[in-house]
Amino acid sequence: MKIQAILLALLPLAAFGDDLDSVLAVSAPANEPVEATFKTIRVVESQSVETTHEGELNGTISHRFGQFSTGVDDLWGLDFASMRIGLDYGFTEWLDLGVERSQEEGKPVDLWGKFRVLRQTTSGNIPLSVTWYSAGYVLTETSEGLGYSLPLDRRLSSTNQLIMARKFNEDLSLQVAPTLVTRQLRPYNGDGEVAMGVGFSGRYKLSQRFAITGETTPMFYGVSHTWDPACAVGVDIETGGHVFQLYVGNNTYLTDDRMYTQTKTGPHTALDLNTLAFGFNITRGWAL
Amino acid sequence: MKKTMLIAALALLGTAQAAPMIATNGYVRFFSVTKMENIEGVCQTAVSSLDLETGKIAIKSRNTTFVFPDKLMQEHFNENYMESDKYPVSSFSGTVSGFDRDALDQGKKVAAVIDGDLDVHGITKHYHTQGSLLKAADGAVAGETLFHVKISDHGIKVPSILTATIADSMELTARFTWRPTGKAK
Repeated sequence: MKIQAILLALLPLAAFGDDLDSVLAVSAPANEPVEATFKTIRVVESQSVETTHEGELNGTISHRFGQFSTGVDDLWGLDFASMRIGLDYGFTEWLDLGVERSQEEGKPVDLWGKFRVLRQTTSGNIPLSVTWYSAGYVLTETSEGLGYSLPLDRRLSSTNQLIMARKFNEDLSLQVAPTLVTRQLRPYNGDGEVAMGVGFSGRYKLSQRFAITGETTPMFYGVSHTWDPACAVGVDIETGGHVFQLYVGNNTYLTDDRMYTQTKTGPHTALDLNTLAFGFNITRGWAL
Repeated sequence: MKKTMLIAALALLGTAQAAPMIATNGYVRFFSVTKMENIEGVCQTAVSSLDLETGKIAIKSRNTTFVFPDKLMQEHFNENYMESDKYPVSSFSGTVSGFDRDALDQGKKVAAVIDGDLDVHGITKHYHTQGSLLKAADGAVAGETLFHVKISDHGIKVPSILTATIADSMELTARFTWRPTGKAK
């Protein structure tokens, strides 16, 4: 800053002719936070490194449908729609808090927060962006609705990720997210209260408003052999105010704790065609 | 980087010849009105040089320094419209003429004609417009202009779904205060 001030004071002494570049370099240094590593707060189903801008409210509506393998009787899964509505607000450029409610087993409601730890800069002196993400889930469905009694302390779960991403160029962004899931309600004895894994995801822009995206989150600790890594591929379509994310994944969950730890696909491979299902997110931002 | 700039500045000091005036922290604003939405971006770090003897003027601004009331709009401005990664700088280069030099030196506000090429989004287009100049007691010259730019002229595409919110014609306002450099009279 000091050097810049000195330079600014010196610059008018010099003659520049038509070449203003060195004046501009001082007046407006080319070192800004990298924007739009991803188009929304989610890459596909997983959270991205992005947070909602300061003073903006972001609404997300997501649908997950049933598996394609249900065939024509259920219109290849479209009969089984579950929906999530979510709102989040950017309190600052580095703090984003959200609340969501998912229409799936147990009717989970979650509060989540994302904290930007580092931001990649255009000059490259900070090579990547880092965001911490934590979501706390509680199952809100009554015992009557569930059909069995479930005390509060067994209704809790959480997802925590240290999301690290780099926008390599205008088109390509890649993300790695060490992941820790905690859950009280577990399907099998082999499933631990704590599960760990790493999420890998990316996007490639094919045009100004159209990108392909993909992600997978293999878990290496605390999940029994029954489960497979969650995978999804999709497209981002941006229309200005809205972003549409359409995707195909190997699970039908809306909540990320279940998606990471309870994805069950066919007997052979994590991408068994019979277990694929369609889903979409629609996000819309409002400046308040 | 900073060191090389310092050296460059010092090197230029040594070779100073006819010294144009320099403006930093110049103000450039564009504004679009539709029934749906107003769009306003303001840059306060544009730079310019002006030589009153020859009338030569040059302006540069970094696209990412335009600030919008709505941050998402700012992101879209850089990502979708200006493509600031590819075209980081917008510039204008031309002449200021037709002004009454004596009246200007006496401290009167004078009208001027501005002619030149505006380079936005990698496409250059010639503009002919009016502005004004006003000289302060300390020798600084303030100038301003307002004209309209069609974004389609500069190859900026707005999808048909958004033509109701983004006008093709943008009102462009620029205000600069040039200060004499060391060798100016």
